[in-house]
Amino acid sequence: MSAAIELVGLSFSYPNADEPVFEEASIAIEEGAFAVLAGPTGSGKTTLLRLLKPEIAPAGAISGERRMFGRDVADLTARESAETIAFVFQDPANQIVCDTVWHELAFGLENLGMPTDEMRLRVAETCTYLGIGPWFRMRCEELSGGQQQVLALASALTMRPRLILLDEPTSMLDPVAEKEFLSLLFRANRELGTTVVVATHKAGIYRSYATEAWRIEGMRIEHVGFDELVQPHAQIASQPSFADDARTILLDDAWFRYRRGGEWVLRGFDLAVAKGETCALIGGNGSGKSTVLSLIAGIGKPQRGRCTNRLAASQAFLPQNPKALLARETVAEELGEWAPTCGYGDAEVAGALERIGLSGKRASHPYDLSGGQQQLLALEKLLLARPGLLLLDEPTKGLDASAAEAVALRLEEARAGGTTIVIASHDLSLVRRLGASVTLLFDGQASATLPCDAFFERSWLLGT
Amino acid sequence: MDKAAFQTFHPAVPAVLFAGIIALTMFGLEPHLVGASLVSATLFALATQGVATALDKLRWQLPLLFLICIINPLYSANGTTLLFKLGRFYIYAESLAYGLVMGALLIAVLMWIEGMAYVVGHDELLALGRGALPTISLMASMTMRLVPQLVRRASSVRTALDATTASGANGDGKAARVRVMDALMSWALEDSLERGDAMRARGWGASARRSSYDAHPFRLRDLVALTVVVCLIVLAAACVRAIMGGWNFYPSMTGTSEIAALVPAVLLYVLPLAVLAVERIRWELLP
Repeated sequence: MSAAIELVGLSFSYPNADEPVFEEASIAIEEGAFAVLAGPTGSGKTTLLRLLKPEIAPAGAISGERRMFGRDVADLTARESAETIAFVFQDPANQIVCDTVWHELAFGLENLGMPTDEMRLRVAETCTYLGIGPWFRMRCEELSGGQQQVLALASALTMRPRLILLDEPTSMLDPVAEKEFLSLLFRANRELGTTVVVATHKAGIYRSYATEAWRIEGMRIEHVGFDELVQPHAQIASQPSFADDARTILLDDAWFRYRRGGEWVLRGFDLAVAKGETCALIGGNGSGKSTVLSLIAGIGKPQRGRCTNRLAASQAFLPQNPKALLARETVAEELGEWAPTCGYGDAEVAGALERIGLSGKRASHPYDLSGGQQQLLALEKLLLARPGLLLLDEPTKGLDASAAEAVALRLEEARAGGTTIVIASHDLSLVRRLGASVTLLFDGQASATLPCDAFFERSWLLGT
Repeated sequence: MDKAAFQTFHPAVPAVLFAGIIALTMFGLEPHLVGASLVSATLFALATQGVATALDKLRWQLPLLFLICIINPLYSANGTTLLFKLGRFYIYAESLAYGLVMGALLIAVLMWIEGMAYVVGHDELLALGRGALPTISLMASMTMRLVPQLVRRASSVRTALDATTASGANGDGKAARVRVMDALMSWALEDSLERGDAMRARGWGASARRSSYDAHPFRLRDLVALTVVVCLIVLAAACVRAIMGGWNFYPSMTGTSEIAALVPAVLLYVLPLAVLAVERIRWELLP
């Protein structure tokens, strides 16, 4: 049997780039393998995956042998590539094309001009196999992010691929959705024999599924053991204690729903945050974390109970997607947007660029930055306004370990400067890292509010 | 009651039925026709959406009816039966009746459109063009998804700006709106690159001709139903034409047609209700 992927002496460089992404790199993955491809941000994980899929391969100078299932990649026709190699992207929302689930499932088959009865069989068997039949007539927008990513996997499986390439497929998902997605991917690999190659910065979560691991380093790809990729837990940071009377943000018996006749999202929610404190809101999807943030920000008002925020005049809000904050032509202009109203100048902007390591990219368009850099840029832009209160919605979503660490560092510095911070997040390692006091949202209430160390000590399921 | 009865047909059947009803209602500007259409539309709305929703709709329907009803006599002082004088205006029974019928017609049309939207969702509407125009229908499908996404993003951009009070930037005014548009445009363009890649990765353009997944097969039963509906529409259209030819509001309200000429149109108007009723009766008769 020929190898699913075989690269020999691969060299690749982007046009006008100073140095190549790969030089004499080689990799061989057998058919049926579940391979994890690790490496720091910018090391070329995405580039490598794309070089294996001719339609979306980046432009640049390439040399060396690229063979898939014994065939030269350059010889694959668009049809053969679509039928053999599936690709699942990072962002669930951006890769969905159609508005309804059934149309999305059929999209790839329609592209190949497949006859109706074959399409009906494939769509039906895929839905049955993955257990997503109930979604069939739903609109894609009604699905959660995790469900959308499962839909992307399902759409890939309708094509009956021999190989699935996945680029950070779970980095936008919450921990529960992540595990569900991985278990389905695992089934496709073991039961269907589909070869799986995942590029990820969180290799640890694949430990029980993957059969082999590779790491990109120094323009080469090396075969590595799993233990080399797994990172240990961060230590719980300590946070000074706060006087109970200095409550700066107070939600008292807050009830909130979005529509008349809708369900209550918050059912008597209580929260008190002291000046200078860092508070983390954790909880499942739809538990109301973002709603609490919007009440604190004054975007919504509780329909019962009260919400006071003594820092309402100097707050800053980082939305889930940093793109909502970015609207200028260059990175430097972006940071300078609020300079006239906030009273900072070019020196502060230069300092900010230095802090987030983007001095060399001051003239780049913000959209040319990586996701992690965009997040840091948006955060830095808010911090330049010197907010007394920082509200963050999933600040580490989609970030790799080093970018998440950079965000955590900036938050620590802001806290040292006296900023009060409220974070809504699924990322417990960030919570641990910041030593934030934890409020667990469940059923619209604060089921537990504890200091960081006490939370991780007392919670059996979430504290690991 | 719900749209289950209509779902057993290919979407073309209810689509043609409702299109016919809406067209005939628009052209049949005669008190009996409009009355029949309005009553049927109201009953249909009551049956499908419930009393509470239907009553809620009265909040805009009644003022609209009243407005058109009083505006017409003020502008067109035609007719023979003088009711009263209002300042400089002579109010005739005929022009009052014309306004009333016109208002009722407008409300009936709007209610039928709502009824159609309820029975034939956008998904079913798109299915009608899918076989012939797979690419256009795909574009429509993408638009249905991307426009609401754009609206949601606009609100997330505004929220982020409004919630960041520390910036000191003014959230209102033209500059702020331009800024929101800028952010949305770059965001959408950036996403479209990734979506383009996702489409090509799944074989977009790999075949000269796309096929289309058909979730609603067209069966013989649909053909029969469609034929019946089309025949009824043609017959009703001929009768409505005859009725309109003989009907005048001015100078006095007179008609020359037989009552029998109303029958096909009235049948057509009550057909959606009949479909609901048959489904209900069948359900009750289940062993």
